[in-house]
Amino acid sequence: MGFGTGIISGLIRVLSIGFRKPITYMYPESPRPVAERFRGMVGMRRDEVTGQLSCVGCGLCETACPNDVIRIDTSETDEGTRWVERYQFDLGRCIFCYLCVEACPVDALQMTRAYHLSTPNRADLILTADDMMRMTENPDQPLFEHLWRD
Amino acid sequence: MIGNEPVAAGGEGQMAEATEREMVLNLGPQHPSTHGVLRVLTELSGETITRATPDIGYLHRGVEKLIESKLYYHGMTYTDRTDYTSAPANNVGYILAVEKLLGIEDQIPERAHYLRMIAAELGRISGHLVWIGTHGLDLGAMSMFLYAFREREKVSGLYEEITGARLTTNFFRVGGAGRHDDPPGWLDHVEEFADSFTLDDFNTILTENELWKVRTQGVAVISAEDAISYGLTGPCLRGSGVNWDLRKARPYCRYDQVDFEVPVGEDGDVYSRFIVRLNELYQSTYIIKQCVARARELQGEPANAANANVVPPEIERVSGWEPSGVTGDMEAMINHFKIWIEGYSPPEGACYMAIESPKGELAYYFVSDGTGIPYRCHIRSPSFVNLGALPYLVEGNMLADMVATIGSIDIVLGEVDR
Repeated sequence: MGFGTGIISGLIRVLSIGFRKPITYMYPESPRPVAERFRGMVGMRRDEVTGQLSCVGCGLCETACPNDVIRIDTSETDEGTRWVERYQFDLGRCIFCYLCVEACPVDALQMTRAYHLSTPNRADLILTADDMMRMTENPDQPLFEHLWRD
Repeated sequence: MIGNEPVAAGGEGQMAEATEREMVLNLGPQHPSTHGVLRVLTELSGETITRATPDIGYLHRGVEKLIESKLYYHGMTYTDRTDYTSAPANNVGYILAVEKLLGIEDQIPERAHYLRMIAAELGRISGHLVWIGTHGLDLGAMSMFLYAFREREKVSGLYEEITGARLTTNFFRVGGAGRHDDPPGWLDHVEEFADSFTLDDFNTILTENELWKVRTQGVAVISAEDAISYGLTGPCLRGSGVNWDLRKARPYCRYDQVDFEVPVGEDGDVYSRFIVRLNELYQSTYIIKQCVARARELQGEPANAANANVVPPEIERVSGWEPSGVTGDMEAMINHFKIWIEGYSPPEGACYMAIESPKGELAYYFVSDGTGIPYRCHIRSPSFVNLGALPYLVEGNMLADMVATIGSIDIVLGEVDR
């Protein structure tokens, strides 16, 4: 075993690895499948009966968020029922920890597998509940589809 | 700033003092071999390092202060971002510290302990794989980087299956394993990975390679006494021949019930730290196999403590949401709201909980004033302390050895600067 045998056997190993089956996914032509629990963009469930927002405006997600992503404005009807006037989700601040999804007491916030979320404009990332419901229903579509080219 | 003597920030004063024979080289903060944004003011005499002064803080995000301004469960999300190469190990350290502060260590179910150990050991594997890849890349073994990250992808896939995230896992919760348990088949996938994981490629390409040995053997030697006095922990300490591993010395989770060895080096050089880490990879797969077997036996048992002050009720009990209104359990709903709004309030006092992270002794120190927000949180990050020995290690060595030395300390700047 003279000097250099280790180098040569290493080189042979490197060359032999070149003949192994590649593990690369050719993104975006064939995207890698994501796990069932994949934490993509936070989505919103649409109420099955009314077709509207299923959020009850309790504000627990606002509290649970460590990064001030969510802002909910609510108002009350004359009968004292609270309803959500505006649900705002700043995706640019979201760290995808999913504490809000865990905190939601009515399962309104949902996990989606959506991860095509890029945009050149930061202001676009401030989402409304409608955007979140749309992404829950079509998680494989890019969030900003008009920017997406094949 | 770490160093023998403080130097002027910016280095201009140093440059003026340099003579014809001596020069000051500014290594980093944007240099691929500094593993992040580490800046080292290197004083050279010819090509020999006379003094090196690491300048840190470029990645400071105030993690400790952020944790001090939020509820205990919020702090979890930031621990992912300290040592991001092995996020679950950080998560485990954080929750163990909070549980110790709350005094509920005894209530944690067995199964949660084993799931935590599997995740922490997977974190060790992924952390060491990042290290071996980048360390090899620094010293010219480019192909090593590709093979290490190929293996790490498998670990990331396992994270993704159980936590949903590939990097910032944020998985376990105080009181157990969180709302989501291990998904069906996950333990099989983990075992499959542990069985198939091999270091053949790494050994053939690096361990027995003469060029690798020339670059690493006898470089940056630190004796056992010096390593202890510099406060080194983890593989850096064990590389010098000190048998100190918190998993054996002060067992946490269920490390006292699994069988494994602590690899210890002899020479205290870059090569022996390299060998220690390689052997740790083997030992981690061995621990994982035992934990998987144990977790299988405990399948079906709860993974969360039966402590309504800390663990929120099952969401099914809370959210029976139907068009007619909330049909869930009212008490469960109140409990759920109380925990998510107020968090949990540990009694007044302080606690220090250290775990053996891939880099060394990772500890969280909490001071509680009895409210839901920690009064003080300090993270004893192993990378920061280990980096303190860099000036000693590189002094008198060649400049090219600096790259090997930084690689062998295995720092993550997210953890150094926090």
